[in-house]
Amino acid sequence: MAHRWFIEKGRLCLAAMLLALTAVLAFGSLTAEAAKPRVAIVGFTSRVQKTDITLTDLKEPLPEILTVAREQLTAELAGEAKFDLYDFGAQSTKARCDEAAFVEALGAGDIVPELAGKADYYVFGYLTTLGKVKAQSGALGLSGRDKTVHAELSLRVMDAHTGAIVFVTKADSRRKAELAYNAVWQRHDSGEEDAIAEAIEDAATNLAAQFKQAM
Amino acid sequence: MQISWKNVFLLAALLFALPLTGTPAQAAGLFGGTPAGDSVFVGEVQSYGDYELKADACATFVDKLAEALRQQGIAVSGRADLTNEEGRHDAIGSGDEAAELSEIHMDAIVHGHQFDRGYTAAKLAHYADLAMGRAYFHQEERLAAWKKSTQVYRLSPDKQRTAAAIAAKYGADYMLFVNLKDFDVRLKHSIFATHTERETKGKKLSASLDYYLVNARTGRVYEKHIENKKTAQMVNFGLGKTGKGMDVDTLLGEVMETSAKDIADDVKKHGLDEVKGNGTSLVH
Repeated sequence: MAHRWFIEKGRLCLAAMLLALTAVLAFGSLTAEAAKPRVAIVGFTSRVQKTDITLTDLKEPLPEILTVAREQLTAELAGEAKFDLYDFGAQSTKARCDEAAFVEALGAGDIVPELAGKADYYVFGYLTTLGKVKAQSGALGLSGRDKTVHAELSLRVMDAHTGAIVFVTKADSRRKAELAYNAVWQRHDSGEEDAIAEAIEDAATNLAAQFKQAM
Repeated sequence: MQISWKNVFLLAALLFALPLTGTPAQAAGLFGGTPAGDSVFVGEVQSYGDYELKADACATFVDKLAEALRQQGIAVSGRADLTNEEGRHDAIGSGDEAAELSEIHMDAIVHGHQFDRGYTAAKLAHYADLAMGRAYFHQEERLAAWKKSTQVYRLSPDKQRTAAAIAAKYGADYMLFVNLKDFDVRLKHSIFATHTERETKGKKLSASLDYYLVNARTGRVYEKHIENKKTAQMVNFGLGKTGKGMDVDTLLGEVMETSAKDIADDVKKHGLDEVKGNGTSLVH
């Protein structure tokens, strides 16, 4: 009699344990379905150097340009179904843009503490070119001149788990900043700052499109 | 309550079937679905010429190169330090991965057809003497014949082993190294050119580089020399005016873009096929 009682209790215990395990796995499975890769936009840095030889004479303050690029990229990537976007706040972006420190830490097998656990992929953006192309032609008062802003951005995606670069792309844009024709009539357009912002926005939009296409 | 062994086994079967029907978490792997085509690991993009290009320019070049390769259907990967700036400045034999990549690059250069010991960075000249011996660079007839050749060659055996180990770690079959050996900006001096504060008198920029595609498994190396030139000049002659002007960064960007596309085209058309072969290759 006691033997049967033990067998019956054993069955009950085993069934209860299996039920509990099933519940845990089912819940885990549901949350796993919800888990998506996390992508963090670390920020944009500039590789444009103002030296005697580069001759870049654009007046737009650089930090504002970089902010335009980051915000446009963030806006384009936000809401994407394939990943969750983690965006660092604007005020702290500058501190986190220190790629050299980040790369050095990864080289030693570490993730810098402020980035640890934030994402599966880190996106680094760069302003690689910001210049003006000037063209002119004509003679004897029949002449034309224009200035075109040329902006180029690039983007690198780093796998946070391995430290390897897994995707690199670049995009550029050209926008007319000034037009001046001297013939029967004259026309003058001046909009350098607007042209820079538009060129940067276009380039960032194209970067985002290439990022999504590569997934 | 009566629970039969049959019901317990049914419950167990349900339990074990669950992981098969559920979707596992895919926290990573967003870029795992790379094209089915070839994949290249960028080992180093640096300047081993007489004059070093700025680190920022090397970084921009590698971004352009990666994009150009992607346009050719070739997937690109690399270490976090994509240009290997750290390894370029490490001492020979320091032993870490960055230094090893620099040494593989230098090994490919000194065994290559384009190498000229008289026009190189000090580190490369030092490595060449270590790897080949000074006497090698005095065999002028042999070197002249080698320069005319375009044959695929191999890395030194120890560098071949190192390349295979690093490539295996990153899951790559091929490694790419670029030596941006000579980027030269010359300001033109023409009496007709504009004399604005920024535009000066026109500019001319030439780029000379070599790239090395390595089959990490066999150590076979394909080498190619690429050269490009661009000019920008605004000219005023009397009442007439013509031409275009741009700053050096923009001009440099255009030259780098063209050079990167040339590399990607050549990798696709020739490089990969050359290093895939198993034919006899020289150990030079």
